[in-house]
Amino acid sequence: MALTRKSRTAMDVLKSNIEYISTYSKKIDDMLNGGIRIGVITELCGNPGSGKSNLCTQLCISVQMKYGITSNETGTVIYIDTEGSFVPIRLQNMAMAAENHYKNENKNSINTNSIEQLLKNVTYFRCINVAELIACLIQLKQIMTPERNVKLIILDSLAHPIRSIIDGDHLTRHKYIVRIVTMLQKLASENNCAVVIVNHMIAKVESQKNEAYCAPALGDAFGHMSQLRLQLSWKMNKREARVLKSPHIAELSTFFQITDDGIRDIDETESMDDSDYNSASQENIHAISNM
Amino acid sequence: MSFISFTSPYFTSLNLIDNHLLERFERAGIKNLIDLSAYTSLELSFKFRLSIFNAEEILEKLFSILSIQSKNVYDMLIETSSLYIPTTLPTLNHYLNGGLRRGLLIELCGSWGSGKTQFCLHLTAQCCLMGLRSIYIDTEHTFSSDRLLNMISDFNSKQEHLLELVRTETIFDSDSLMNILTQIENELEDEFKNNAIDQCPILLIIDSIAAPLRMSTIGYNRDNTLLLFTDCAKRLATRYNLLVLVTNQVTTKRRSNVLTEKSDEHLSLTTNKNIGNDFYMSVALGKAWSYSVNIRLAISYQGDTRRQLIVGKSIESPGYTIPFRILTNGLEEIEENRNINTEKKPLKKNLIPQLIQADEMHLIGKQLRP
Repeated sequence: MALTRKSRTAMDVLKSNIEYISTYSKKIDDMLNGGIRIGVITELCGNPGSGKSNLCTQLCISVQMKYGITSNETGTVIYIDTEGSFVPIRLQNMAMAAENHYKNENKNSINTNSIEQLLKNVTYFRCINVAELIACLIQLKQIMTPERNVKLIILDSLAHPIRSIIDGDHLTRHKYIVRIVTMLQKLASENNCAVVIVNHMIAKVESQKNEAYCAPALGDAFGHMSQLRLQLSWKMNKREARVLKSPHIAELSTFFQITDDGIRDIDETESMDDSDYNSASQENIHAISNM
Repeated sequence: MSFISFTSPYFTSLNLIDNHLLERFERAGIKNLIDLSAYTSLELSFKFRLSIFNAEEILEKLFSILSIQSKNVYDMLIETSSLYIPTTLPTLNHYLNGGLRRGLLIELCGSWGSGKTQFCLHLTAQCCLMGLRSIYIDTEHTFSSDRLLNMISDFNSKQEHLLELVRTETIFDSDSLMNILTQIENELEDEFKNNAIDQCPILLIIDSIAAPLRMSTIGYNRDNTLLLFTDCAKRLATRYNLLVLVTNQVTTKRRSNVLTEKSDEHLSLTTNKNIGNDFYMSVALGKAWSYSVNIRLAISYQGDTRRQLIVGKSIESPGYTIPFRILTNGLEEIEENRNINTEKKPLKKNLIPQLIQADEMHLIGKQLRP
């Protein structure tokens, strides 16, 4: 079996179309130069309840929408859940909101996906420990046929099964992490799909100053493995998305909100009372980013 | 499945690969699938002198026993849409899309006397009224059949026989907790096999999880036990479609600006005076536990019989705070009089959701009058 490799010049790489998946928040998409990149691993970290699973569910919808992905065709999703935090009704709500939006914007709706089809295109796997996770990834190699056209793989989360390993030291955990991430990297580049890995945050203490701070879990080694590291948190009573690491974009941060319909931008032009910042009324839904 | 030893009779009877090879694995320290997960096919081929192709084949065959049935979300929605337990608080039901859903691990925290046990009893009562079984594991010796009976029976009819649907267990330490959970898991497995799905319980309450863990003296043991417990609880929730409700206690935490990620402009960073003795009450059991639960509810005290139910973490609902009362016949939501401000656009409900950090919730406990 001969392995042929074509070398490419930097011009080839520049000209090749880089595809993105929108997060449905224009500010976050602008910050990321388009959204979640296809073909590479993106890491999503944050404190509990910061919106990671919500963002993942939102991406499941946007990858299937014509204007949610800069590509010729929309794709399907594989959602690997290790924590049990995926709720089908939430996906349904987001799907209905996205459908409604496009019906309003385009009178001649090109998008003929019904809600049912949107839900059917998301394949769900539930893995409880590392062994099941690896078995699942091995299974994926056979599942990802060209007809299926998987454009997004979500692993929510990697931190939970790794941190649940009781009789293992750092070295063993590192081996598991490397194994899993390598398999995902192969899947991402060979099948040209985006991979999103969700991570936890841990509290670390710096011994000299005795100060505690929050850092992403899974160690420094894992920090090198993703192409983009995105942190979700709260700042001044608003939700914030911050780029921690990226070779292409600056380390910016921006605000967003989570409504009943999914991830959206915060409208700056509304009246700036403090009470309004807390409200999630229907009026806060804004134009989904047009791509 | 992933923990079954390679050399056990069950595994060898599956006849997946050569038994001699399984013995070599065992001698090299790879005892089960979890250990095997750390090895790539290249490493296996070096270690055991196999060809890479062979090694890949072996990995695929062994892991095929764990292969999971995938579902698409539409089918999942159809399956799970009607499987929830409605509470007696209509707003909570509305925002959680019907009630507390089965298959999730839900945590309820609150200070002493805030009403956690009452909430558990009311949920058990709801379950009884639906005619379904439930299991109540009591670790603080606070279970009361009288209260449960009050919550079940209306003023008209007495329904004592419904109490037989509740199975109670009283335990005191973490070992017996894990024992009883293993026992329950085995029984559920049998019931499932015998297709007696109607007889299966739908609700498992553990009141509380913090009490047996606080008995453990060493902190490291506590983390391990919590991990084992979380594993078991989630397995029970997903495989047997149980609603697992766990109550937690509170602990005092020191206010630290760095950990809470909130930048307070009034607090200057140079003076340590304000930071020093700033204590507040928050959820016990640590940060890692906060990730494990699917929904976090908290009860804050508001005076007399009035309480606030706070939705701290939930994928479906923003951080609503629902006021309610604890009465003789259960929990009742407080309908507040709404002042409609004609200048602002009216909100959908008079409740305003807030951004709540799930692992740094500030709770109010019962204050004793001087």
